[in-house]
Amino acid sequence: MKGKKLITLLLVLVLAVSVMLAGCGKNDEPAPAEDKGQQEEKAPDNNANKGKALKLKVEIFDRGNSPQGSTMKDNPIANWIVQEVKESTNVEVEFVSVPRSEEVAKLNVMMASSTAPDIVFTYNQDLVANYAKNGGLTDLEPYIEEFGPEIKKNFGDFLQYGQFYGKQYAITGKGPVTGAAHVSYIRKDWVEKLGAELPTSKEEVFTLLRRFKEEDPGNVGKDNVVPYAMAAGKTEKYYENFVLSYADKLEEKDFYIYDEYLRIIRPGTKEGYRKLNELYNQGLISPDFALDTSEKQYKQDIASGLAGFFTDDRLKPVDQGWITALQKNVEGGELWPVNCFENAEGEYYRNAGSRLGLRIMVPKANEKNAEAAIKYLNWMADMKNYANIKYAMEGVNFKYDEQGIPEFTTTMEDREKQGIAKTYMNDYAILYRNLDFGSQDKNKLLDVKKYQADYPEELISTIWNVRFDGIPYDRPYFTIPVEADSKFGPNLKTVLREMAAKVIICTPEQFDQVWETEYNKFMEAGGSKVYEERASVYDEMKSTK
Amino acid sequence: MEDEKTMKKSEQKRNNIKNYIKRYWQLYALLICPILYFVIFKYGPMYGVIIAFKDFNIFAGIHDSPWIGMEIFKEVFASSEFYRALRNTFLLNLGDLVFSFPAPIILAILLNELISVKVRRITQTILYIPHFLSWVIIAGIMYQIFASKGVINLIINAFGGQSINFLGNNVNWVIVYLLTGIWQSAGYGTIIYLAALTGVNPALYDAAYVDGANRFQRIWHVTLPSIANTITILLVLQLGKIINISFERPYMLGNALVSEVAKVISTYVYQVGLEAGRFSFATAVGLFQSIVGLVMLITVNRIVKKMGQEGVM
Repeated sequence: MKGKKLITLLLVLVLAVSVMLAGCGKNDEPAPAEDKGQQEEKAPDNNANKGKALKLKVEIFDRGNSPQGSTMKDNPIANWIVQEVKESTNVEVEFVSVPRSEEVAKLNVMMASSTAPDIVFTYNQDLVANYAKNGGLTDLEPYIEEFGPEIKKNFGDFLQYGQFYGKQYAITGKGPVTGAAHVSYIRKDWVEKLGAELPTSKEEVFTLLRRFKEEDPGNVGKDNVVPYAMAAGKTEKYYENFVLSYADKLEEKDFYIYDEYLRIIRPGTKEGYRKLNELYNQGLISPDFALDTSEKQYKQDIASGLAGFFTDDRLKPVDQGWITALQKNVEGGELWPVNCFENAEGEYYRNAGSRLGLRIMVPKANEKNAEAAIKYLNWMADMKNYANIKYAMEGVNFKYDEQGIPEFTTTMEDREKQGIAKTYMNDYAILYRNLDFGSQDKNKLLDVKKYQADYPEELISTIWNVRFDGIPYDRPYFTIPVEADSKFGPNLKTVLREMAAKVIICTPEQFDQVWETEYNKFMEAGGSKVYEERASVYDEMKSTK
Repeated sequence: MEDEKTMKKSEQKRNNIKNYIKRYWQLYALLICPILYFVIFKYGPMYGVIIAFKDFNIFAGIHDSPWIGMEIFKEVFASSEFYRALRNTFLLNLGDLVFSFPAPIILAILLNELISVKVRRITQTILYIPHFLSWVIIAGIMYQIFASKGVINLIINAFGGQSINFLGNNVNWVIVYLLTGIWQSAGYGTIIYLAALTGVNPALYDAAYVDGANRFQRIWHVTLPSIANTITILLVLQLGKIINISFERPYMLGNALVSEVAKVISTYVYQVGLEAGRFSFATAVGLFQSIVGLVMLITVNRIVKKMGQEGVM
């Protein structure tokens, strides 16, 4: 009995303390007070907007990485947006957080039960096409016409990427040309210690991987080295560039058919998987990568200095502070971007990062709030406002240089202390992928300036060069939705990733057999239907053009 | 004469009912909450099963989506993924039945034989603590123990052995899955058996003792028969559930490499229904599962009754 009481008491105490802490977090924020001053000055211009405030609920991705005391609803950026938008458009924004990892499942449930926020979004094109087909989305055209002058001005033709079945069912976020989507990084200090050069071809990478393992340049213990780090998150980034370098040259039609999640099984890629299988069986790839769905082990291997080489989203190691973490853990530890997967023609051929951002939608059930939604997006379409979100408020965390390029005045760590997680800026700034100055040089400078408080200029500009060194191409885009993709796509993505893991991990003797079984599974699960329909939709698209 | 009699009888009856209600209404009032619970949360949602026969459009709602008859079921039964999920559900549950089901019985008997009450209590508590851990945590622990660089493999390596791929090999994974299940649920499962054991008349033990039965004979002839009924009921329930599988356990413990054996109906429904948004398909799979489950339960119950046990219905 006594034990029970004690436990209850403890629980109550924990609860009380956490409530108190949460309360403190709120009081500590000085930002809103400063902002008020600014807004009072602005207020007179906006008299026209006074009247009954419109309410608006906006989805926001929650990555579970909020700093202590911050939540997705309550942090300096969110608070700033709420206040600014209220002032200038008389719309009262409320953020509704949705866990990033189960975003699609959650969105499906919210849409089905008509409990979705007024602004919802996803990167998943098939999902949007599906909603559009079932009549679940608001046609935004009349609203953009009336309340979205800034959107019209800045998006122009780009608005077509949000059209489905001839209606403006979404606004697809706009982004600058970004070069390669994924970039490989190598431990430069290890390479130097081995007296080698940075790799420029696959063979050189293989040699280095082997040497990483055998010679252990980082002195981390031969059994601990992870020459080629991989994980099994919901993406193909770890091996996509690699297997693509084995792919055959494609006709335009096949380009369309084998795009998106089918890229990783383009004709020819099988040999790439065979090579990965060989590397895995030589112990050069993270042994348990297929179990590492949360990327926990993967990130740990990179940050603690066990990983020698990996491929990831182009700026992830920079954005997420992996490089900083590595430098803290290992003296002289240095990750460097390299281009090393050449194809049969000797070109670095990678898939280009998409210019398309989030597909932003207003559910049909929420059409009454479409006006507020477009007013909000129109506010964000203004580059000044957008930059204020993307760089966490002028005067607080950034300033403009003489060319009008924003530059952070604080480091990631500083911002974290203010209660701003590394990913917040991207997650709240939904309308564009990034600022775009229209010229490569300026956009490059933008990247360099963005990270100058945290990283040396050379690193960032090398990443930029690596991204654009190679064959860039415009990603194909189906103007007619492929229904088989909406139906089978989400499941097929899982099936393909499982297939990749299995063929990489099996023994070399089993490779062909596993490949065949898994490929048949994929075809049966809807793969063949997707092939067929994509081919016919391509023909239809060409004939109507 | 006759009429009067019946009148009297019916009046008496009415009085009886009145008295009965007066006397026991509180008991019925107590029933209201649980019944409401079942109506609202268990029977109400059954309306949704008609999604399986409709081309469900999440925006039109269940009522307004068009009927398409058995179309979806045809698709389900033509899908090899479905059969794989079905097979895995059966196999994993069968494994649980064979290995996890007897575990709490054995544990309960062992605990029952302990003389020191203190030791028994402590042991019992330690044994059922895992039941309160979520599968997310258990999966994390499993990973630490069974991964290539996990505790067990480190020990094997230290003795010069080759690492064993516990989590990526189909057979090994099933073993890990079953062991984890035993570890998680055996302790908690003993509670019911221990409760049944407290009801055993101590005189029976004394009599057996006097008759010269040793400890093992006492267990065999007194303890086991006294809990036989409980065992049967739980077995029936377990068999009835052989096609139902929890979601968390296979989902958390499973991984891409063993999807061949780890993808079960619940995870398949989640993947196809919620992640891929094919609600009709998922509902059809779920409905099929429920019907098979019901048939199983009734059949097993019949068999048990034939065998002279009480059963659950």
